[in-house]
Amino acid sequence: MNPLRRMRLEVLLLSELAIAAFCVSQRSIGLFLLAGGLAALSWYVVEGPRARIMPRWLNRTLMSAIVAYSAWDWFASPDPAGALSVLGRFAMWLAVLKLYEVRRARDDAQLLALSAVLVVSGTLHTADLLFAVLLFVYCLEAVRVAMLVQLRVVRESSNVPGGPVAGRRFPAQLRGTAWLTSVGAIGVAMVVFVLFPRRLDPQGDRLVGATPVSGFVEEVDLFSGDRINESRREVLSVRWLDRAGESLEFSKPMLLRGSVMSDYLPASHRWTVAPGARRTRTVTVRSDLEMTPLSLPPVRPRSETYRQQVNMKSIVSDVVFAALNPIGISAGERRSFAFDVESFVIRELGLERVSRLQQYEVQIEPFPGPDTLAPLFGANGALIPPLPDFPVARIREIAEAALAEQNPPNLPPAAAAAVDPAQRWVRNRIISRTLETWLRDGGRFAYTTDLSSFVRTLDEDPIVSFLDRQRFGHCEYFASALTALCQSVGVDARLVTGYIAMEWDPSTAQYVVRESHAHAWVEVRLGGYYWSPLDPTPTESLEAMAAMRRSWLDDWRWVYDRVDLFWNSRIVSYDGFVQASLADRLAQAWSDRLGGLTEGFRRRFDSMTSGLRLGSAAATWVGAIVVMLAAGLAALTITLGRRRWIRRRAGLPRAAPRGDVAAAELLIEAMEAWARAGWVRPAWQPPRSFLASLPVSSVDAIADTRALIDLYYRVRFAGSPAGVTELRRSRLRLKRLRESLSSGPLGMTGAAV
Amino acid sequence: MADSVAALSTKSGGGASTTSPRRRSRRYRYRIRLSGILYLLVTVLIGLAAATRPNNLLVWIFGLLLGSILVSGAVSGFMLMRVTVERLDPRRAVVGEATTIRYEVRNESRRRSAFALRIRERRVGTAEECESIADSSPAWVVHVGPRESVHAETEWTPAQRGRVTFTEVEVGSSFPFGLLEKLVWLALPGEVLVHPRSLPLRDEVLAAIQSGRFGGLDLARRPGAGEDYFGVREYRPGDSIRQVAWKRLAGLDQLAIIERSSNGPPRLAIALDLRTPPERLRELGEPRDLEERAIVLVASLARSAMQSGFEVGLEVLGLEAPRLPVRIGHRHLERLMGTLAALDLAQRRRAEAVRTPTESRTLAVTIQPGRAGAGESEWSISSSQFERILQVETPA
Repeated sequence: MNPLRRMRLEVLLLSELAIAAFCVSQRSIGLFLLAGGLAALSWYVVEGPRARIMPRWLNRTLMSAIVAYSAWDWFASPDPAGALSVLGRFAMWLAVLKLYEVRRARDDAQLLALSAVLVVSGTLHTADLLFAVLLFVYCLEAVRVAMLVQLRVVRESSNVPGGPVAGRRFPAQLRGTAWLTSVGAIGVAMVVFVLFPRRLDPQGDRLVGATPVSGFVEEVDLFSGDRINESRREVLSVRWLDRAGESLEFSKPMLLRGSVMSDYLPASHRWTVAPGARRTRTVTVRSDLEMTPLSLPPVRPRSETYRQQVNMKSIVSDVVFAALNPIGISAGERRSFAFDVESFVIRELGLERVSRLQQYEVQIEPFPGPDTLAPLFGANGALIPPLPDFPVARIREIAEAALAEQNPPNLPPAAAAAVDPAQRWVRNRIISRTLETWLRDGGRFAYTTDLSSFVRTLDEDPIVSFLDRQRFGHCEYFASALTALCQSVGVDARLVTGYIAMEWDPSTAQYVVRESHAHAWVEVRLGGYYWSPLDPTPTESLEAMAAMRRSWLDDWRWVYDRVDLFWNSRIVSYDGFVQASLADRLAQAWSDRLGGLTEGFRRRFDSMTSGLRLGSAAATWVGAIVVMLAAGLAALTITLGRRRWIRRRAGLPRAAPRGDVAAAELLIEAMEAWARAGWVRPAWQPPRSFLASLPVSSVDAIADTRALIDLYYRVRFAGSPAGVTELRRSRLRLKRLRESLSSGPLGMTGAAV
Repeated sequence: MADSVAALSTKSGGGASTTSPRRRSRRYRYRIRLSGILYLLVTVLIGLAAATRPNNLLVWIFGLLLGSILVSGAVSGFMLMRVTVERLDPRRAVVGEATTIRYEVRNESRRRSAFALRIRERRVGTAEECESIADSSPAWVVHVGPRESVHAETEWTPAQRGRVTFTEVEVGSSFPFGLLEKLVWLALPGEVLVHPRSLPLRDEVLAAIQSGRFGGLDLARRPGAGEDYFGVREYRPGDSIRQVAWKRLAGLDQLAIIERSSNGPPRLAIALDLRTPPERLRELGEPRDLEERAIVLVASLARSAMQSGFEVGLEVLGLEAPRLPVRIGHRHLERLMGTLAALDLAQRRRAEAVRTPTESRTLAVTIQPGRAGAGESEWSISSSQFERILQVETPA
C-alpha cells in the first residue's frame, strides 16, 4: 500500500500518542478518555463513509473557546510552573480540533508541531516509564510522519496529472530509510544523553522523576494533598535473616526508616529536618559481602543481631531503608554512604556509583546497649540536647487534657525529670505510651486515606484541626499528632517516614513492600542514645486496607516493576556523579587495556630480540624491517585489489593473462582521464564509438586513445599478447594523454558543430 | 553566438539527446529553511532547559533534536550525492503553448534511495535569457530507488520566440524532515528553439485564399488525374480503355494513350522584409514588437496556407537566414517555423532585393514590420494589420 495513502492514519496515531503521553504526565485518565476519544472519533467523521469536515464557523468558534479556556486556565492559577501544563492542554485541544479539518501537508506539519509541544510539555512534568515508552514510540512515529509530510508536499506541488513519479519498491525503501533515520537520531540522542554536562552539586536540584513517586516522602507536608498513594507497585522486598541465615517472619509489622524529622514549621505546616542538625559520617563499603561497621570505633554487638536484605524494585532514592539501630552495612560493591549519627538514617553518596543502589544488606541490633550506641554516635558520645518546645500552643492544652483524661500511673514529675535523666526516660516512656493509646484506641480518631473532606483553614494548624475537629486522617496525621503532643509536654519525640513491611510472601520467605505501604510513625527517646518506635496509627486498619487492595494483578506486576527499576535506576537517575564515575571507569578500563597491549608487545619484542641474540641497536633494524614489511604488504594489497577491480570491470576471467589485465587497465585509465576532463563514456557505448563522438580537435589525444583502444582489442580479442616494450610505450601514451587532457580546454571540431 | 550554442548543444547532446558525453560538474549547497530556523531555536531552548533543569528525558529529547538535524543533513547529503539528471525534452517549443520538459533522474547509488526530489532549471546567464524559462515549474520525484531511473516531467510555457539556452539544473531535496534543503547544481547545457505563435487567420482572409485570389492552380510537371492535356504515350497493359487516343490510332500500329496532367497546389511565396533598420521603425511603435508581429504574421499565414493546401516558400530579407523553396508538408512547415524561430533580430540589417518568384502562378506576399510597401509583390502586409489579418483573442 502506498504510504501516502496511509498518512492520515499515521498522523492520527501520532496525535493519539502525544495526547496519551501528555495525559500520563498529567496523571489524568479522564482527560485522555475525552481528548483521545474525540481524536479517534475524528477518523470516523472525516474519513468515514460520510467524510464530513467541520464547518469553518464552528471551527473558528471552537478555536476561540479553546483560547478563552486556556486564558482562563492560566489566570485562574498563574503559576509559572503550571504554564507549560496550560500550554500543553491548549496544544492538545488545538490538535484535536485540527483533526476535524480538511488537511493538506501544511496542516499535517502543524499537527506534528502541536504534538511535539504536547510531548515536550509532558517531559517537563514526569519521567515515568510509561511516559518514556510513549515518548519513544512517539519519536519513531514522528520521524515517519515528518518524512511523509515531505513526500506529501511533493505530491501536492506536482502539476503533472497522476502525480509525481515514484520508483519501484517505494514503500519498503521508505520504511527502511525511516528506520535507519530513527536509529541514527536515537543513537545521537544516546550519545548526547551520556555526554551532556550535568552538575556535580549533590545539594542541587533533584532530577525530575528521580523524586520517588512511591509514597515515601522525606518531608511531611500536612497542608497539601487529599489522597495518599495507594499504588500496589512493589518498591522493595526485604528479608530478615538470623545468625544461621534463616529467613524470619515477625508477628508485628516491621518499620523501615527513611527520613527522620524533628522540627515542625507552623507557617508552612511542614515537618522537616532541623537545619544544621545533621551530623554525618562517611562509610565506604568494600566490594565483598562483609559487613562494614557504622560505628566509630567498630564494636562487637552483645545482643542478638539480624541481617536485613533489601532488593530495590522500583524506587529511585539514595535513602537506605533500614530498621532502627543499624550497626553495619554491605552492598556487594564499593559504595559510599553517609550515616547520620543522630537520626541513624543512611544515605548513599553518589561518589563512586554508576547506577543507583539496588541491593544492600544492613545489620540490625534491635535492642542495643549503650556500648553499641555510644560508638554509633561518635567517639565522644555527647548526649543529644533536649528538643525545643512544640511551637503550637494549643497542642500542649490538648496533650495535657489527654494526659489528664488517661491519668497514667507512676508518672514522674517534670521537675524530677529535668534533673534526673533516668526519671526523664521513664517520664518519656509513660507519656508517649499514654498518648499513643489515647490516639489509637478508644475510637476517638479514624484512619482514612481519603482526605477530600478534611477542611483545612489557614488560621488553624492542621494538627489542631485533626485533634480538635476533624478527627480522621492518615498515618502522617496520627504520627504528627503524637510527635506534637509529646514535644509539647517536653518528651523527646520525632517523626519518622519510611515503609511498613507487613505483607509476607511465604513462597519467597520475604516481605513485599509496596508504594501503598509508605508510612509515618514516631520515635521517642527512652535513653541517652536509645530511641524507641511508636506507631499511633491503628495497625489493624492498615492491614485491612492492604488486604482490600490486594488483587491478582499483583502477581504480574513484577514484569513492569523490573523494567521500571532499570528505567529509574539507570536512566532517570543518571546524573553528574554517575557520569563522572562512568568516565573514570571507562578511562581506567581503556588505559588498562592499552597498557596491557603495549606491555604485551614489548614483552614479545624483547623475547624475539633476545632469542635472536641481537644487541640493543638491533631494535632499530627490526623496527625498520617491520615498517618496510608493513608498507610492502599494504602496497601488495592495493595492487591486488586494483587488479581485481580491473578484472571485474573489464569482465576478465580470474585466470586472465597479465597482459590482458594490463591492457584493460590502460584503457580504463584512459577513459578515466577523459572522464576527469569532462567527457564520460556512457556504459553502453563502445570505446571506439565514444572516441568517434568526441568533438575534440586535439589530434594527439585522439590518436593516443585510439592506440590504447587498439591495443586492448588486439590483446583481448585477437589473442595477440602485448610485449613489455609495447606496454611501456602504451604507458607513455597514457601519460601523454593525461597531460594533454589536464592542460586546458580542448578545441571543438567543426564537424561536431 | 551560434557557434558557441552549437558547441554547448553538442556537449549536452543537442539539448535533447542523452547519448553524447556530457560535461559533469556538480556544486553542492545547503540552504536552511524557515522551519529549520524555528527548529534550531526550539532545540536551543530545550538545550538551555535541559542544562538548567535536571531532567534526563529533556536531555534525551535535546539529543534527539540534535540527532535529527545531523541525520537530516546526512540523509539529504548522501541521497543527492549519486543522483544524476538528464534533460530529455524538448527540442522545440511554441510561444504561449505549454511544453513538457522531461528529465531522466538516475540514482547511481547501490543502496541509498532518493526521496522528494525537486528538479528545476536554474537561471544562469543574462536576464533576457532567463526570463523565458522563469515560468517553468519544477519537476518532482517522490522516490528513486538504488540503481534505478525514473522520468519526471514538468510543463513550461515559453513567452518569447528564439533560442533558449539551458545551462544548469538544480536538484534539491528537503527530505527527511524539511529542516535543511540540500541543493545540487548540475551543469546540463542545452538549448530549445521556441517557435513563434501561429494564430488562425480571419475567415475572410482564408476565404480569399481559398477562392483563388491568392494565386491559383498550377499545372504540375507530371501526369495525373486532372483535366488538362499532358501528352500521348504508348499503351501499357492495365491502362483504361477510355484513355485510348482513338484519333491517333489511325496513323499508328499500336495503341496510344492520352495522359492528363495533375493539378498542382496553389503556391505562395512569403517574403519577410526585415531590411528596415529598427531605428526607422521607432516612429511606428516599439521596433522589436513590430518585427515580432511580422514574424507571427508570417508563421500564421504559412501554417494556415499549408493547412488549406498551399505550397509555401519563405524568404527573409535583411537578415541571414536560409531561403526555403515553395513546398508543402509537415516537415517543410517545421523547417519554416524553425527558420522563423532562429531569426536573430539583434543582427545588423542588410539591403537586398526581393527575388520575384520565377514560376508562374505563384503568389508573392511580402510581410514587413513597417508600412506596407508597394510594387515588389502582389500582396504586402504590415504589422499594423495584425489584428485585421489574424484572429487575436482579446481578453474579456
